[in-house]
Amino acid sequence: MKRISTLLLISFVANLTFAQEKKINEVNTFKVKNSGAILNKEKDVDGYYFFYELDKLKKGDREFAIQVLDKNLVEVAKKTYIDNKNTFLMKSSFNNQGIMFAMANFKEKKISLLSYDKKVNQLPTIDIPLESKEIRYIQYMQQTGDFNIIFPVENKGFIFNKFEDNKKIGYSLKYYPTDGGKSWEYNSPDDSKEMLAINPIEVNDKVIVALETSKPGLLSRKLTLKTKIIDVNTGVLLYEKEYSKNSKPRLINNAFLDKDNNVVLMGEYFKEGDNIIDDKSLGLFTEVVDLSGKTLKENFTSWKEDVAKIAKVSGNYIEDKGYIYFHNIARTKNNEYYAIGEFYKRTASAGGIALTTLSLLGGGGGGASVTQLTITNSVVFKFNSDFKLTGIQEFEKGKSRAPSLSDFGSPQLNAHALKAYGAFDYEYTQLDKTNDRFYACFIDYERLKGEKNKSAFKTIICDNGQLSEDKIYLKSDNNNTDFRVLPAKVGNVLLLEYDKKLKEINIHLEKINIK
Amino acid sequence: MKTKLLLFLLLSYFGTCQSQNYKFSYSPNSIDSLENYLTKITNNKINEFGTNQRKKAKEILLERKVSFLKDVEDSTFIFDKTINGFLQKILTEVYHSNPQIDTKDFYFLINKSLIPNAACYGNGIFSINLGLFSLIENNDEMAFIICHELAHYILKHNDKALEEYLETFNSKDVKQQLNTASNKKYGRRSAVTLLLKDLKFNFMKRSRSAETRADSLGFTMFNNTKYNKQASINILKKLDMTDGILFNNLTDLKQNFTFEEYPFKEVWIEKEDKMFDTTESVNDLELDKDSLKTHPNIPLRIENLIHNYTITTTNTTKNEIELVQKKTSENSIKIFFDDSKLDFALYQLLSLHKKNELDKKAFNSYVAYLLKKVYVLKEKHVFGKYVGPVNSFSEEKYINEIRLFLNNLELKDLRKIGYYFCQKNELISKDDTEFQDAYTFFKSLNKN
Repeated sequence: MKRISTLLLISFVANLTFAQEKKINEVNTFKVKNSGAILNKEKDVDGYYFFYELDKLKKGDREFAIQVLDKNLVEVAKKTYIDNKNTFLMKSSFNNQGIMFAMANFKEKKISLLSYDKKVNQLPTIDIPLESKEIRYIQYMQQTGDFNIIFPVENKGFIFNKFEDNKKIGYSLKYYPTDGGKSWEYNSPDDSKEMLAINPIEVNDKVIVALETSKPGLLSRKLTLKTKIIDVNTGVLLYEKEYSKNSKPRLINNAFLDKDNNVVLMGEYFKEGDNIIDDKSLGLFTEVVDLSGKTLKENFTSWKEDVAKIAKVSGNYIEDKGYIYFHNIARTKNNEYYAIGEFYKRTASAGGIALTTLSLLGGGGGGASVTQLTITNSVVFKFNSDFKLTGIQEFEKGKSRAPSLSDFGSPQLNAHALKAYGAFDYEYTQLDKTNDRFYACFIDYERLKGEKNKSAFKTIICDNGQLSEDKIYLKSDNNNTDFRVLPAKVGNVLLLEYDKKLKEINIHLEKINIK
Repeated sequence: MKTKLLLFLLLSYFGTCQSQNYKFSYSPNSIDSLENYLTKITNNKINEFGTNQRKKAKEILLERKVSFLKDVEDSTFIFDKTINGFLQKILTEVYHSNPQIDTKDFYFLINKSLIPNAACYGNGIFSINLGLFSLIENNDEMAFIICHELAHYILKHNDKALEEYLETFNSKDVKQQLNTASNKKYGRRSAVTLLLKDLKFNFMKRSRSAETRADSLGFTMFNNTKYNKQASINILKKLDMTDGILFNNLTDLKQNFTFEEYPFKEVWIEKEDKMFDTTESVNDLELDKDSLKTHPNIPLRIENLIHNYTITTTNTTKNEIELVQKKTSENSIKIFFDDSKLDFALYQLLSLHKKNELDKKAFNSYVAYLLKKVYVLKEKHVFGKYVGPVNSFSEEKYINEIRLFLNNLELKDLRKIGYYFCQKNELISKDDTEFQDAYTFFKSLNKN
């Protein structure tokens, strides 16, 4: 267990036996500006970072320190860094060959990519200038959990995902190798009449799978999704596949690359001609596409027939139980699929990673609300390797309510925008490739009869095809402690206990239990 | 008077520990008399300071007194009749051979830490870590350590260090430099750091020189005793070897936890990849480690002794050493359990078991209890409070293997391991209540 005296970094000098002078401590006690977990694409934790401001320097500069702890909470590096006072650490990423930090300074309109190699030697910093419009979009993007501004390509490099102030808004994927390979860029057309955004979601040593979202204007409800497969070594587009109102309207929740380098796309499908923003989906789909863009296999599971049959409801499952927001779809080694979601009412559609960019292009937005979403139980749909629904399992969870964000009126878009603001109880899903498991985590506010309401960190675990739940109450018996949960190395959680009396934080890793 | 006080403090303890043969206590018979003793020696010490430094010295010494009492209350020290008796005999010989030493108000404590070390508090209190009792091979080696610590006291190293600190931080020059540095508008952290780096470097330099002087005077006193003089060199060499690795006994972890019905899984002790290719944290804010060492290198200390003294070899004294080391091992198990340091407890159990230094029944009982405790802590999601993950920079192979094992075990593994361990040892430990309690616990978990 680690003990940290509040969220402060007290440097070595304050620890000297004799250095008890208040003045010295004041000079050498630094507040954390921000901190977070360094996650890979499976949401496994590689480590944690803490960003501190150490010293005021001339000409508006500051001396900062970035402290990196490994996944076992051992400090592995503490590096100092000088930059302008308005700099903040926006994102971190680790690719096994090095670590990259996106240091943003919106006043000076730039992002600096600060990276260190495996020996923690600083590499040349890459400065990326930004336009005001690009900053605005990045700021929206920061509010979403799933948008990958730096995406690690394991043992190869990093991809930086930048908005481009084109005729409308576009994007640029910039690849920075760490293995001696060549850097490249993949840009949306400068003169595109559409607003375009992209999100890389899967990568191996050959290709990158990215989802592109486009719409004619900010308020437009005509949305087109494209799956783009890009050669990771050259940046050349291998193929793209379009899903629009008139051609396979689909929302993509997740994508995998299988052992043959085929892309497995998963999500919700709609009736031909339907708008994925306004209309109700018909069910869930998988589609296997090869690297030439040819569809090898498609499977569909309809709400009306297939889901209702398994769920043993007479009518349309969704109308009966409420809508489901699918946060993630996990796949096990024997090609079983598990769609992890939460029920919500008064809305009509679902979403996925693509909708992160969709809500972004929609402008996010707050404003007065007249309706609300009621979010209830979590649910897991289990599919076999042919994507045939074989089971539905619900896990009880307290009701939580979130006001609709009324800018666009659409309940579906509201759900997606709310997802971006963290209104759902879902936190993240970790894939454990070694043990062929997944851990889907939620924070629930339990309202139990005869007991005080309390928050609980709940994890749905899939182990050997069996689903079970583990629960950690985020409350101490004496009420003197505040709890926070952070992602940890796979199969574990990081518990931060703040003792209000002693003003001390205890950090410990705990295994998620499979009963 | 001096002998009376010492014996009273050393030998009065509660012999009430519950398990096995543990007859030691974490507190002296009377904490009040300890407090009175501390007050007396602290006041004496304060009065030794000149008027210009007394106020600040008082503040610091009272703070140290409170901190020491807290250590006692927090069970930092143990009071064990056998170990204290052993120590007392060596002390008697050292005092007897060096009548010039004023041993009035001396107080030797046993710190429960297994790191082989000793300390002089400068006020008459000394502590010897339990780990040192495991390291020594004879009374002679302990006698040299005691002489070294007594030399620190006689040479007033603690007092001088405090005086130096007060002089430095009260000096006009340093105050001014500190003010200038901390009042800087820009770059004040680096300015203060630079200043402190110089000050700290000077402190450490003096501290290293103090160690060499304590070795010299310590050896002179040691030379007056009947003990084998070669022991001084031997113990220093041993301390040098333990500088890196402390827990180097074989544990046979796999052999103890593999069962026909539930074989040991290598994945339980699989090492994790390191984030960076470095052997320690890369810290831009850290000062040069070598310049901040408080002790000179041990080979240098040995060289100094050999160069300055004639070191003869005579017969060694091994009175009660085996008994003391057995007690040390037994006590350490109890201490680790009391502190819920289950990784160290398991290491100690396995290494003693491997060396046949622990009764099989006691071993079974403790391991069964430990497995049950690990299960309960994991179930409540508090295990990580007591057993940390492996530090990727640590090269302590055996203790790290145990940490990996305990951390990686899932409830379903523990259910099985606990059950099969108890089943395997059922016959030997059938009369042991603690063992049977754990067995019943695991039986009920394996019902379905």
